Amino acid sequence: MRGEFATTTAVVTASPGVPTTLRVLATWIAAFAAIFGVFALAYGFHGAVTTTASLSFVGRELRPNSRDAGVEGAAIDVRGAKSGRATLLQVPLLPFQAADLGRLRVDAGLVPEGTEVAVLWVRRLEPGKIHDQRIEVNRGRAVPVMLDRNPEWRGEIAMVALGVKGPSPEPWRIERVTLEAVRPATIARAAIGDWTSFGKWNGRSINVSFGGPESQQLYLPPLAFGASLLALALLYVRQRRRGGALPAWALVLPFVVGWIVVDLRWSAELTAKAAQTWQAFAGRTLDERHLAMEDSDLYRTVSLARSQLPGTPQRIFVGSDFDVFRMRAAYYLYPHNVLPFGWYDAKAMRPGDFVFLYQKADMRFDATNHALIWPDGSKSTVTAVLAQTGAGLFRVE
Amino acid sequence: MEALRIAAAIVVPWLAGYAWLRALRGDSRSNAFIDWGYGHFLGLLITTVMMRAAGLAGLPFSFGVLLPSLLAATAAGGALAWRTARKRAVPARAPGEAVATAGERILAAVAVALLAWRVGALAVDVGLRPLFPWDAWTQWATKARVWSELHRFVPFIPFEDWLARAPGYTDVAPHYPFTVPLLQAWIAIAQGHFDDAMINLPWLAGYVALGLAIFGQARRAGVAVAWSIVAAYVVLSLPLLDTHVALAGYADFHVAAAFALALMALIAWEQDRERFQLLLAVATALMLPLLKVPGFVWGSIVALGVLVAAFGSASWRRILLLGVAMGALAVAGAAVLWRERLTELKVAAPVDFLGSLADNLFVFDNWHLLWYLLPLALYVGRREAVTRMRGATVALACGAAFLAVVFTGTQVSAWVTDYTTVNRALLHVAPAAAVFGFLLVWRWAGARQLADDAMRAALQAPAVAQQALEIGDGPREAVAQTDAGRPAE
Repeated sequence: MRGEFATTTAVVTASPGVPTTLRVLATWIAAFAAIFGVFALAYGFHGAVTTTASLSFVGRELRPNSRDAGVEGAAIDVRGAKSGRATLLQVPLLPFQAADLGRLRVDAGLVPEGTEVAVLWVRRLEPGKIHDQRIEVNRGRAVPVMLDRNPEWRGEIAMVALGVKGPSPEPWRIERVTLEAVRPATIARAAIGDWTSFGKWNGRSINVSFGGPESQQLYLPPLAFGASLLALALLYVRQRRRGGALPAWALVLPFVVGWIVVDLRWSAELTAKAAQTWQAFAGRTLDERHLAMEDSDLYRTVSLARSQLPGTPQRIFVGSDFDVFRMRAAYYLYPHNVLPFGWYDAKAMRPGDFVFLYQKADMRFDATNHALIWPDGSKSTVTAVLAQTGAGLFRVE
Repeated sequence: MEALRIAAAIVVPWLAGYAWLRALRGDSRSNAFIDWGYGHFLGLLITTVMMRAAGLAGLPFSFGVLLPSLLAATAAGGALAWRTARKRAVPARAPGEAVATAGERILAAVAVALLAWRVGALAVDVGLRPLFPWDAWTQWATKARVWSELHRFVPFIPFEDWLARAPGYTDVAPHYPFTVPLLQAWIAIAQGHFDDAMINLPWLAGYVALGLAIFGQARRAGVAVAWSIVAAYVVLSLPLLDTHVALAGYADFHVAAAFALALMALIAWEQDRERFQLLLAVATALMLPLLKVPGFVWGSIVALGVLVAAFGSASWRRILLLGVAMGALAVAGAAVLWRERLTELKVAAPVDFLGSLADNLFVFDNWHLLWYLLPLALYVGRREAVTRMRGATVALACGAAFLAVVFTGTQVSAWVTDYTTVNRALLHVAPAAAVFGFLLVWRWAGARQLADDAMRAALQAPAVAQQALEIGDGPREAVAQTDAGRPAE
């Protein structure tokens, strides 16, 4: 114990003062900027400064392929097509070399919920083949796309278009589409854009945190660690020149700074996600919050089914073509005694059991004969407790 | 009223755990942060054990039954704590610590601000978002929902038995330990209905408690206040840990917290053989198998660490033998308890997963800079790791070996490449590894500073200067001096 207190005192007496802390911080920032600059030059400088000018088009210049898009002043509004097909907006440009213009930016309003956007292109030498790349949406805004990372973005590009698809009746207003040359500044902007692209919580979030989009040219953690190492080396060299060794805290501090920098990005991401959660759910009852989730239709259907069931727990077989619906429906049906997997036909059922079906394409309900018709053609006599398009609750007789 | 009941559901178990720790700590060098931090997790253990007892006794799962039982446990612990406190002599105050420098204060302020902001952000997701991640509503909260809505403990059985009309419910993991769903059920029972956002409040409370425990253990280990805050910040800022609180409902957060708590107590016990720390290590290690199936392995690993620490200066050959024996015991125990589950593990040639593993450790932001810095910490603190912290070192090495065997020798290697399980498995060990690495660096820094001071003093004293230069090994001398403070083993 003597050693511990001695240790404490020793380190505390020699720990960082403000000027030295600032010096470490400044060194770290310089190291970070140096590595970042080298990276941007390496990826954005192709032997010569490109002189190709950007190509920019206002929304009304885009050529839509359906009436779901309409000109509004200088912009163009796109609505989700009732047919479910994508609306294409062709960019009116002449063929150009892919290497000259590698980044596409869409200046537009908030992308409506559920709308998917992609950029599509055709190479001049393969006129029948359409290539595409999804445009990520971050906090409702379309994120600039680095096309030069896509292996299919090469040769001479003959056609570029935006594809817009989604169920929303809300229009998405596109103000301008710009194709830019890839320069060091573009690369740097893209990297910063990646780090500040936060997205929503999704099914993979519980397993992995990418620190921005899954695919990035430059991830922040290795860069921050590299900057910490370089800062340490710079501090070491400086101290050697002045004579003497670096104190222990000076060896540690660059890594603490690196950690905090990476964590500032993560804090911003957590904050953005909390803001989304707040916006979606705050001030709402539990039912309303479930109805604001992606499986709202399932929740509504199960709630209706539950209201038709006796109060005491019933044995319910749950079926759907989709794992997520089967399992989620079962979760909503508890504390009824449910089985959402491991059964495939009527053999296990007895009179008094219930069957809940949701989006189960290979089963039919014969209302005339009060029968469920199974995929193998066999029939079970049932009473329909709830029967609607795509869903039903039946009592086995 | 509902808010009061929810508050009681969080506070009363916490108080019960705290009271019992105060009662058991005697005249230990523990501090309030350790008591409150560990107290939360002990309170969870007390609550869920009581619920199991109520279930076995056929008592209803109602607030009217469970809350008085918990209050009684709290009162008993409190009375015992009060009695022992009266008998105890006033502990001597620790030697005064030098005031933190402005640089340290800024660092600590930044860490506290980031943590406070984070707790707020996490609270929004925990309190508002209905249960979101897959396993949370397919295998954990399923049980919580049934028990809390039926107000009784009913068994969960394999679906084959369910089809054969055996009494009971089923879900995709009927064999999984009940602690986590019991926790969720407890909140729902207190609230009066099943709110699948609020049931996750224990994750947020556990997050705060973990921070308190890390701070308390760091202080106890002699780390300065500002750097103890940084230690807590380092662990609580790990993105995967934060995500498991924000999207609560999995057991992995509690496994990670319990393993970290056990390892910190083991390090403290190894340092000065204080029985209270051994008690903390054993209690938190016992929690592990009650949380999740792999918890049995993690608990065995802590037990191995305790044995290694107990043998003190034993030879590495003896430690190796101990390791093999404990490993065999863990495998045999797991085979007996969960043989059905273990048959799901198939021996398989590993797929090409090293690239994916490296991405998850070093490139993506799952762990900030943890896996870059841990090898550096091990390097600078290697002497400390194999002397004063050998129990913890062996425990972490066994943990790494366990993960390596599972990921290289079974079909689980495929779960590295699709990013599904690798980080959740690492989460079990990451907070403990972070604290371990932090303490290694702290002690190395202390020893280095002592060495520098000794060298400077030697050079400044003309009579001794010549002699010191002849020895030429000032740092080693100083390190030896630091170790001299270690109690006899």
